[in-house]
Amino acid sequence: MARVGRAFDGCFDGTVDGRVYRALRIGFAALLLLRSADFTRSFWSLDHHDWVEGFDFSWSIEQPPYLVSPLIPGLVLGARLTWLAVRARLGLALVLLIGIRPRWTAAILTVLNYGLLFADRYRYFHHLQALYLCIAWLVLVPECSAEGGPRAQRAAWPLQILRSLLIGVYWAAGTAKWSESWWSGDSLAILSHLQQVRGPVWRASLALLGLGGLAKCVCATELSLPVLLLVRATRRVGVLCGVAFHVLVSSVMPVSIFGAVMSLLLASFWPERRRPDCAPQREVANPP
Amino acid sequence: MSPTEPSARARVPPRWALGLLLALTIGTPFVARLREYPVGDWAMFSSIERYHLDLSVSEPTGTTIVPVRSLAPHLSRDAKFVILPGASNGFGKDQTDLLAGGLADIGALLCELHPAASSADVRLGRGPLPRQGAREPAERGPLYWTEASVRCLR
Repeated sequence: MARVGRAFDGCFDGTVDGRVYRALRIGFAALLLLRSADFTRSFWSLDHHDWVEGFDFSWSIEQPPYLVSPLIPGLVLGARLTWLAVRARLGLALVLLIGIRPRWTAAILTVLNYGLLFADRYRYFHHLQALYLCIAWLVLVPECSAEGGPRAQRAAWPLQILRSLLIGVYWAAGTAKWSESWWSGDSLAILSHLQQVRGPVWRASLALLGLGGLAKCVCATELSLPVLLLVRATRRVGVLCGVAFHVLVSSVMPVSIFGAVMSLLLASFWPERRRPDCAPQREVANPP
Repeated sequence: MSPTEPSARARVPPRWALGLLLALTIGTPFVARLREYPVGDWAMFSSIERYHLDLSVSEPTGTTIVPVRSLAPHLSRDAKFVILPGASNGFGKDQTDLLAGGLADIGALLCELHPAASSADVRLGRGPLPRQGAREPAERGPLYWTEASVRCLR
Protein backbone atom coordinates (compact mmCIF):
# COMPACT_ATOMS: atom_id res chain seq x y z
CA MET A 1 0.00 0.00 0.00
CA ALA A 2 2.85 2.31 0.84
CA ARG A 3 4.40 1.62 -2.57
CA VAL A 4 1.13 2.50 -4.29
CA GLY A 5 1.02 5.70 -2.27
CA ARG A 6 4.59 6.56 -3.24
CA ALA A 7 3.88 5.81 -6.90
CA PHE A 8 0.81 8.05 -6.71
CA ASP A 9 2.89 10.81 -5.13
CA GLY A 10 5.48 10.31 -7.84
CA CYS A 11 2.88 11.22 -10.43
CA PHE A 12 2.52 14.66 -8.96
CA ASP A 13 5.79 15.67 -7.37
CA GLY A 14 8.55 17.69 -8.97
CA THR A 15 8.57 21.05 -10.64
CA VAL A 16 8.41 22.55 -14.12
CA ASP A 17 9.64 25.72 -15.71
CA GLY A 18 7.19 28.46 -14.74
CA ARG A 19 7.02 29.68 -18.33
CA VAL A 20 4.98 26.58 -19.20
CA TYR A 21 2.08 27.88 -17.13
CA ARG A 22 2.38 31.35 -18.56
CA ALA A 23 2.31 30.02 -22.13
CA LEU A 24 -0.74 27.87 -21.42
CA ARG A 25 -2.56 30.77 -19.75
CA ILE A 26 -1.89 33.03 -22.72
CA GLY A 27 -2.98 30.30 -25.15
CA PHE A 28 -6.24 29.49 -23.37
CA ALA A 29 -7.07 33.16 -22.79
CA ALA A 30 -6.42 33.97 -26.45
CA LEU A 31 -8.72 31.15 -27.55
CA LEU A 32 -11.44 32.34 -25.18
CA LEU A 33 -11.06 35.85 -26.49
CA LEU A 34 -11.34 34.69 -30.10
CA ARG A 35 -14.24 32.32 -29.47
CA SER A 36 -16.32 34.69 -27.33
CA ALA A 37 -17.00 37.17 -30.11
CA ASP A 38 -16.58 37.76 -33.83
CA PHE A 39 -14.30 40.79 -33.81
CA THR A 40 -11.80 39.14 -36.16
CA ARG A 41 -14.47 38.62 -38.81
CA SER A 42 -13.19 41.35 -41.13
CA PHE A 43 -9.64 40.04 -41.31
CA TRP A 44 -9.67 36.45 -40.04
CA SER A 45 -12.62 34.18 -40.69
CA LEU A 46 -13.21 31.47 -38.10
CA ASP A 47 -15.70 28.59 -38.00
CA HIS A 48 -17.84 30.12 -35.28
CA HIS A 49 -18.45 33.26 -37.33
CA ASP A 50 -21.01 31.19 -39.23
CA TRP A 51 -23.30 31.28 -36.22
CA VAL A 52 -21.96 33.95 -33.87
CA GLU A 53 -22.67 37.61 -34.48
CA GLY A 54 -21.26 40.04 -31.97
CA PHE A 55 -20.82 38.40 -28.58
CA ASP A 56 -21.38 34.65 -28.37
CA PHE A 57 -24.45 33.75 -26.26
CA SER A 58 -25.88 37.24 -26.67
CA TRP A 59 -29.60 37.49 -26.06
CA SER A 60 -31.13 36.34 -29.32
CA ILE A 61 -34.81 35.69 -28.62
CA GLU A 62 -37.08 37.77 -30.81
CA GLN A 63 -40.23 37.94 -28.69
CA PRO A 64 -41.65 36.81 -25.35
CA PRO A 65 -42.51 34.39 -23.95
CA TYR A 66 -39.18 32.70 -24.35
CA LEU A 67 -38.04 29.13 -23.84
CA VAL A 68 -36.33 28.66 -20.47
CA SER A 69 -34.38 25.40 -20.53
CA PRO A 70 -31.26 25.52 -18.39
CA LEU A 71 -28.96 22.56 -17.85
CA ILE A 72 -28.87 23.46 -14.16
CA PRO A 73 -32.41 23.77 -12.81
CA GLY A 74 -33.19 27.31 -11.75
CA LEU A 75 -30.28 28.91 -13.59
CA VAL A 76 -32.12 31.59 -15.49
CA LEU A 77 -30.30 34.58 -16.95
CA GLY A 78 -32.55 37.25 -18.37
CA ALA A 79 -31.66 39.65 -21.15
CA ARG A 80 -29.88 42.15 -18.89
CA LEU A 81 -27.72 39.65 -17.03
CA THR A 82 -26.81 37.98 -20.32
CA TRP A 83 -25.87 41.38 -21.82
CA LEU A 84 -23.62 42.05 -18.85
CA ALA A 85 -22.13 38.55 -18.66
CA VAL A 86 -21.04 38.31 -22.31
CA ARG A 87 -19.26 41.66 -22.09
CA ALA A 88 -17.66 40.90 -18.75
CA ARG A 89 -16.43 37.58 -20.15
CA LEU A 90 -14.68 39.28 -23.05
CA GLY A 91 -13.09 41.90 -20.78
CA LEU A 92 -11.91 39.29 -18.30
CA ALA A 93 -10.49 37.13 -21.11
CA LEU A 94 -8.34 40.12 -22.02
CA VAL A 95 -7.34 40.58 -18.37
CA LEU A 96 -6.40 36.89 -18.22
CA LEU A 97 -4.39 37.20 -21.40
CA ILE A 98 -2.42 40.08 -19.89
CA GLY A 99 -1.98 38.13 -16.68
CA ILE A 100 -3.49 40.35 -14.02
CA ARG A 101 -4.43 38.23 -10.98
CA PRO A 102 -4.79 35.18 -13.24
CA ARG A 103 -6.21 32.78 -10.65
CA TRP A 104 -8.98 35.14 -9.58
CA THR A 105 -9.69 36.11 -13.16
CA ALA A 106 -9.86 32.47 -14.19
CA ALA A 107 -12.22 31.74 -11.28
CA ILE A 108 -14.62 34.52 -12.24
CA LEU A 109 -14.40 33.52 -15.90
CA THR A 110 -15.25 29.93 -14.98
CA VAL A 111 -18.40 31.09 -13.23
CA LEU A 112 -19.33 33.29 -16.19
CA ASN A 113 -18.52 30.67 -18.82
CA TYR A 114 -20.52 27.93 -17.16
CA GLY A 115 -23.27 30.33 -16.10
CA LEU A 116 -23.80 31.30 -19.73
CA LEU A 117 -23.35 27.76 -21.06
CA PHE A 118 -25.70 26.07 -18.62
CA ALA A 119 -28.38 28.77 -18.73
CA ASP A 120 -29.47 27.33 -22.08
CA ARG A 121 -29.05 23.57 -22.61
CA TYR A 122 -28.80 24.04 -26.37
CA ARG A 123 -25.55 26.00 -26.11
CA TYR A 124 -23.47 22.95 -25.28
CA PHE A 125 -20.53 22.06 -27.54
CA HIS A 126 -17.61 19.79 -26.72
CA HIS A 127 -15.08 22.37 -27.87
CA LEU A 128 -16.52 24.92 -25.43
CA GLN A 129 -16.49 22.40 -22.61
CA ALA A 130 -12.82 21.63 -23.34
CA LEU A 131 -11.89 25.32 -23.36
CA TYR A 132 -13.90 26.14 -20.23
CA LEU A 133 -12.29 23.26 -18.35
CA CYS A 134 -8.87 24.61 -19.32
CA ILE A 135 -9.83 28.06 -18.05
CA ALA A 136 -11.09 26.48 -14.82
CA TRP A 137 -7.80 24.60 -14.53
CA LEU A 138 -5.92 27.92 -14.40
CA VAL A 139 -7.41 28.40 -10.93
CA LEU A 140 -5.12 25.59 -9.75
CA VAL A 141 -1.94 27.09 -11.19
CA PRO A 142 0.29 28.67 -8.55
CA GLU A 143 1.15 32.27 -9.24
CA CYS A 144 4.85 32.96 -9.72
CA SER A 145 6.69 34.35 -6.74
CA ALA A 146 8.13 37.85 -6.90
CA GLU A 147 11.69 36.69 -6.28
CA GLY A 148 11.65 33.81 -8.75
CA GLY A 149 10.04 35.52 -11.71
CA PRO A 150 8.25 33.66 -14.49
CA ARG A 151 11.26 31.40 -15.19
CA ALA A 152 11.32 29.99 -11.66
CA GLN A 153 10.46 26.34 -11.14
CA ARG A 154 6.87 25.85 -10.06
CA ALA A 155 4.97 22.87 -8.72
CA ALA A 156 4.26 20.33 -11.46
CA TRP A 157 1.06 18.84 -10.05
CA PRO A 158 -1.32 21.29 -11.82
CA LEU A 159 0.34 20.39 -15.11
CA GLN A 160 -0.19 16.71 -14.35
CA ILE A 161 -3.89 17.37 -13.74
CA LEU A 162 -4.14 19.14 -17.10
CA ARG A 163 -2.41 16.23 -18.77
CA SER A 164 -4.84 13.80 -17.17
CA LEU A 165 -7.70 15.84 -18.64
CA LEU A 166 -6.34 15.22 -22.12
CA ILE A 167 -5.85 11.52 -21.43
CA GLY A 168 -9.47 11.36 -20.25
CA VAL A 169 -10.73 13.06 -23.41
CA TYR A 170 -8.88 10.63 -25.70
CA TRP A 171 -9.90 7.55 -23.77
CA ALA A 172 -13.50 8.64 -23.68
CA ALA A 173 -13.56 9.57 -27.36
CA GLY A 174 -11.78 6.37 -28.39
CA THR A 175 -13.89 4.00 -26.33
CA ALA A 176 -17.10 5.73 -27.49
CA LYS A 177 -16.13 4.72 -31.02
CA TRP A 178 -15.75 1.07 -30.00
CA SER A 179 -19.04 0.21 -31.65
CA GLU A 180 -20.30 -1.56 -34.73
CA SER A 181 -21.79 1.60 -36.21
CA TRP A 182 -18.45 3.41 -36.03
CA TRP A 183 -16.16 0.54 -37.04
CA SER A 184 -18.26 -0.32 -40.09
CA GLY A 185 -17.91 3.26 -41.31
CA ASP A 186 -21.67 3.88 -41.08
CA SER A 187 -21.27 6.90 -38.79
CA LEU A 188 -18.70 8.46 -41.12
CA ALA A 189 -20.99 7.76 -44.08
CA ILE A 190 -23.76 9.65 -42.33
CA LEU A 191 -21.43 12.52 -41.48
CA SER A 192 -20.40 12.64 -45.12
CA HIS A 193 -24.04 12.54 -46.23
CA LEU A 194 -24.78 15.48 -43.90
CA GLN A 195 -21.76 17.37 -45.29
CA GLN A 196 -20.17 17.39 -41.84
CA VAL A 197 -16.98 15.94 -43.33
CA ARG A 198 -15.87 17.32 -46.65
CA GLY A 199 -13.07 18.83 -48.65
CA PRO A 200 -10.01 17.61 -50.56
CA VAL A 201 -8.31 16.02 -47.54
CA TRP A 202 -11.47 14.04 -46.79
CA ARG A 203 -11.79 12.85 -50.36
CA ALA A 204 -8.13 11.86 -50.52
CA SER A 205 -8.34 9.99 -47.21
CA LEU A 206 -11.50 8.25 -48.32
CA ALA A 207 -9.89 7.13 -51.59
CA LEU A 208 -6.89 5.83 -49.66
CA LEU A 209 -8.53 4.00 -46.77
CA GLY A 210 -12.25 3.75 -47.41
CA LEU A 211 -14.91 4.51 -44.81
CA GLY A 212 -14.22 1.48 -42.62
CA GLY A 213 -10.47 1.99 -42.73
CA LEU A 214 -10.75 5.67 -41.86
CA ALA A 215 -13.09 4.93 -38.97
CA LYS A 216 -10.70 2.33 -37.57
CA CYS A 217 -7.76 4.71 -37.98
CA VAL A 218 -9.52 7.47 -36.03
CA CYS A 219 -10.48 5.09 -33.23
CA ALA A 220 -6.99 3.57 -33.09
CA THR A 221 -5.40 7.02 -33.01
CA GLU A 222 -7.59 8.21 -30.15
CA LEU A 223 -6.88 5.07 -28.15
CA SER A 224 -3.14 4.97 -28.82
CA LEU A 225 -2.36 8.66 -28.24
CA PRO A 226 -2.77 8.33 -24.45
CA VAL A 227 -0.31 5.41 -24.46
CA LEU A 228 2.25 7.39 -26.46
CA LEU A 229 1.80 10.35 -24.12
CA LEU A 230 2.02 8.30 -20.93
CA VAL A 231 5.30 6.60 -21.84
CA ARG A 232 8.14 9.03 -21.35
CA ALA A 233 10.18 7.67 -24.27
CA THR A 234 7.37 8.27 -26.80
CA ARG A 235 5.82 11.35 -25.22
CA ARG A 236 7.06 13.92 -27.71
CA VAL A 237 6.24 11.64 -30.65
CA GLY A 238 2.75 11.45 -29.19
CA VAL A 239 2.54 15.23 -29.04
CA LEU A 240 3.50 15.55 -32.70
CA CYS A 241 1.16 12.74 -33.79
CA GLY A 242 -1.68 14.32 -31.78
CA VAL A 243 -1.19 17.76 -33.31
CA ALA A 244 -1.08 16.22 -36.80
CA PHE A 245 -4.28 14.30 -36.03
CA HIS A 246 -6.11 17.47 -34.99
CA VAL A 247 -4.84 19.39 -38.00
CA LEU A 248 -6.30 16.65 -40.22
CA VAL A 249 -9.60 16.55 -38.34
CA SER A 250 -9.91 20.36 -38.47
CA SER A 251 -9.29 20.30 -42.21
CA VAL A 252 -12.19 17.93 -42.91
CA MET A 253 -14.88 19.02 -40.47
CA PRO A 254 -16.00 22.26 -38.81
CA VAL A 255 -14.89 21.69 -35.20
CA SER A 256 -14.27 25.36 -34.41
CA ILE A 257 -11.46 25.81 -31.87
CA PHE A 258 -11.40 22.19 -30.75
CA GLY A 259 -8.19 21.40 -32.61
CA ALA A 260 -6.48 24.45 -31.14
CA VAL A 261 -7.54 23.61 -27.58
CA MET A 262 -6.40 20.01 -27.98
CA SER A 263 -3.08 21.11 -29.49
CA LEU A 264 -2.46 23.33 -26.48
CA LEU A 265 -3.30 20.43 -24.19
CA LEU A 266 -0.92 18.25 -26.18
CA ALA A 267 1.78 20.91 -25.85
CA SER A 268 1.48 20.57 -22.07
CA PHE A 269 3.19 17.17 -22.47
CA TRP A 270 6.26 18.65 -24.11
CA PRO A 271 8.16 20.09 -21.13
CA GLU A 272 10.06 17.72 -18.89
CA ARG A 273 9.27 17.58 -15.23
CA ARG A 274 12.19 18.15 -12.89
CA ARG A 275 11.85 15.38 -10.36
CA PRO A 276 12.92 15.83 -6.74
CA ASP A 277 15.99 13.97 -5.50
CA CYS A 278 14.69 10.54 -4.66
CA ALA A 279 15.33 6.86 -5.16
CA PRO A 280 15.55 6.00 -8.85
CA GLN A 281 12.93 3.24 -8.62
CA ARG A 282 10.26 5.93 -8.36
CA GLU A 283 10.98 6.68 -11.98
CA VAL A 284 9.17 3.48 -12.97
CA ALA A 285 5.91 5.32 -12.77
CA ASN A 286 5.08 6.90 -16.08
CA PRO A 287 2.42 9.37 -15.12
CA PRO A 288 0.41 11.40 -17.55
CA MET B 1 17.57 21.47 -7.11
CA SER B 2 16.57 25.08 -7.60
CA PRO B 3 16.03 27.27 -4.54
CA THR B 4 12.31 27.51 -5.20
CA GLU B 5 11.75 23.77 -5.41
CA PRO B 6 11.17 22.90 -1.74
CA SER B 7 8.38 25.44 -1.44
CA ALA B 8 6.85 24.18 -4.67
CA ARG B 9 6.90 20.62 -3.33
CA ALA B 10 5.35 21.70 -0.07
CA ARG B 11 2.33 23.04 -1.93
CA VAL B 12 1.28 19.67 -3.39
CA PRO B 13 -2.29 19.01 -2.22
CA PRO B 14 -3.17 15.93 -0.18
CA ARG B 15 -3.69 12.62 -1.95
CA TRP B 16 -7.46 12.68 -1.59
CA ALA B 17 -7.66 16.05 -3.35
CA LEU B 18 -5.43 14.91 -6.19
CA GLY B 19 -7.39 11.66 -6.46
CA LEU B 20 -10.62 13.63 -6.69
CA LEU B 21 -9.20 15.81 -9.46
CA LEU B 22 -8.00 12.73 -11.33
CA ALA B 23 -11.41 11.10 -10.97
CA LEU B 24 -13.03 14.26 -12.33
CA THR B 25 -10.77 14.47 -15.36
CA ILE B 26 -10.69 10.79 -16.27
CA GLY B 27 -13.84 9.30 -14.72
CA THR B 28 -16.44 11.97 -15.45
CA PRO B 29 -16.76 11.22 -19.20
CA PHE B 30 -17.59 7.59 -18.50
CA VAL B 31 -20.15 8.51 -15.84
CA ALA B 32 -21.70 11.00 -18.28
CA ARG B 33 -21.89 8.30 -20.94
CA LEU B 34 -23.52 5.82 -18.58
CA ARG B 35 -26.16 8.43 -17.75
CA GLU B 36 -26.59 9.37 -21.42
CA TYR B 37 -25.72 12.93 -20.46
CA PRO B 38 -23.82 14.61 -23.29
CA VAL B 39 -22.00 17.22 -21.20
CA GLY B 40 -18.37 16.14 -21.05
CA ASP B 41 -18.88 12.63 -22.41
CA TRP B 42 -16.49 13.41 -25.30
CA ALA B 43 -18.31 10.95 -27.56
CA MET B 44 -17.41 13.10 -30.59
CA PHE B 45 -19.68 11.97 -33.43
CA SER B 46 -19.29 8.30 -32.47
CA SER B 47 -22.96 7.66 -33.04
CA ILE B 48 -25.51 9.76 -34.84
CA GLU B 49 -29.25 9.53 -34.38
CA ARG B 50 -32.16 11.14 -36.12
CA TYR B 51 -34.94 12.76 -34.20
CA HIS B 52 -38.40 14.12 -34.75
CA LEU B 53 -40.50 16.36 -32.56
CA ASP B 54 -44.31 16.44 -32.30
CA LEU B 55 -46.06 19.19 -30.35
CA SER B 56 -49.70 19.48 -29.38
CA VAL B 57 -51.92 21.27 -26.87
CA SER B 58 -55.27 20.25 -25.39
CA GLU B 59 -57.72 23.10 -25.69
CA PRO B 60 -61.46 23.29 -24.96
CA THR B 61 -62.10 22.79 -28.67
CA GLY B 62 -59.95 19.67 -28.77
CA THR B 63 -56.34 18.74 -29.40
CA THR B 64 -54.41 21.15 -31.59
CA ILE B 65 -51.21 20.21 -33.37
CA VAL B 66 -48.59 22.95 -32.96
CA PRO B 67 -46.06 23.34 -35.78
CA VAL B 68 -42.53 23.13 -34.39
CA ARG B 69 -41.47 26.08 -36.54
CA SER B 70 -44.01 28.31 -34.82
CA LEU B 71 -41.75 28.29 -31.76
CA ALA B 72 -38.93 30.01 -33.66
CA PRO B 73 -39.47 33.60 -32.41
CA HIS B 74 -39.40 32.35 -28.83
CA LEU B 75 -36.16 30.37 -29.07
CA SER B 76 -32.56 31.37 -28.62
CA ARG B 77 -30.16 31.07 -31.52
CA ASP B 78 -28.79 27.78 -30.15
CA ALA B 79 -32.21 26.34 -29.33
CA LYS B 80 -33.29 27.01 -32.92
CA PHE B 81 -30.37 24.94 -34.21
CA VAL B 82 -31.55 21.91 -32.23
CA ILE B 83 -35.33 22.23 -31.94
CA LEU B 84 -36.38 23.47 -35.39
CA PRO B 85 -34.80 20.58 -37.36
CA GLY B 86 -37.03 18.30 -35.26
CA ALA B 87 -39.97 19.49 -37.38
CA SER B 88 -38.79 17.09 -40.07
CA ASN B 89 -35.65 15.16 -39.20
CA GLY B 90 -32.84 16.40 -37.01
CA PHE B 91 -29.54 14.60 -36.74
CA GLY B 92 -27.07 14.21 -33.90
CA LYS B 93 -26.67 12.28 -30.68
CA ASP B 94 -25.77 15.12 -28.34
CA GLN B 95 -28.58 17.25 -29.73
CA THR B 96 -31.08 14.45 -29.15
CA ASP B 97 -29.90 13.89 -25.60
CA LEU B 98 -30.10 17.62 -24.85
CA LEU B 99 -33.56 17.81 -26.34
CA ALA B 100 -34.74 14.75 -24.42
CA GLY B 101 -33.82 16.43 -21.15
CA GLY B 102 -35.76 19.59 -21.98
CA LEU B 103 -39.13 18.33 -23.23
CA ALA B 104 -40.99 19.64 -20.19
CA ASP B 105 -39.51 23.09 -20.75
CA ILE B 106 -40.87 23.11 -24.29
CA GLY B 107 -44.23 22.02 -22.86
CA ALA B 108 -44.16 24.99 -20.46
CA LEU B 109 -43.50 27.33 -23.38
CA LEU B 110 -46.45 25.82 -25.28
CA CYS B 111 -48.67 26.53 -22.28
CA GLU B 112 -47.59 30.16 -22.30
CA LEU B 113 -48.19 30.48 -26.03
CA HIS B 114 -51.63 28.88 -25.80
CA PRO B 115 -53.37 30.42 -22.79
CA ALA B 116 -56.55 28.43 -23.38
CA ALA B 117 -54.73 25.09 -23.25
CA SER B 118 -55.18 22.79 -20.28
CA SER B 119 -52.11 20.72 -21.12
CA ALA B 120 -49.27 20.50 -23.60
CA ASP B 121 -47.74 17.35 -25.02
CA VAL B 122 -44.23 17.12 -26.39
CA ARG B 123 -43.17 13.89 -28.11
CA LEU B 124 -39.61 13.17 -29.14
CA GLY B 125 -38.94 10.32 -31.53
CA ARG B 126 -35.37 9.16 -31.87
CA GLY B 127 -33.80 6.33 -33.75
CA PRO B 128 -30.67 5.05 -35.39
CA LEU B 129 -29.65 6.10 -38.83
CA PRO B 130 -29.58 3.52 -41.61
CA ARG B 131 -26.54 1.64 -42.71
CA GLN B 132 -24.38 2.62 -45.65
CA GLY B 133 -26.04 2.47 -49.01
CA ALA B 134 -29.50 3.55 -47.89
CA ARG B 135 -30.81 6.16 -50.29
CA GLU B 136 -33.14 8.03 -47.97
CA PRO B 137 -31.46 8.13 -44.55
CA ALA B 138 -34.22 10.21 -43.05
CA GLU B 139 -36.94 7.71 -43.82
CA ARG B 140 -35.45 4.45 -42.62
CA GLY B 141 -35.43 2.81 -39.24
CA PRO B 142 -37.93 2.92 -36.37
CA LEU B 143 -38.24 5.82 -33.96
CA TYR B 144 -38.52 5.33 -30.21
CA TRP B 145 -40.73 7.88 -28.53
CA THR B 146 -40.38 9.82 -25.29
CA GLU B 147 -43.25 11.99 -24.18
CA ALA B 148 -43.62 14.85 -21.72
CA SER B 149 -47.08 16.02 -20.77
CA VAL B 150 -47.26 19.36 -18.98
CA ARG B 151 -50.36 20.57 -17.18
CA CYS B 152 -50.89 24.24 -17.89
CA LEU B 153 -51.54 26.50 -14.93
CA ARG B 154 -54.15 29.13 -15.50
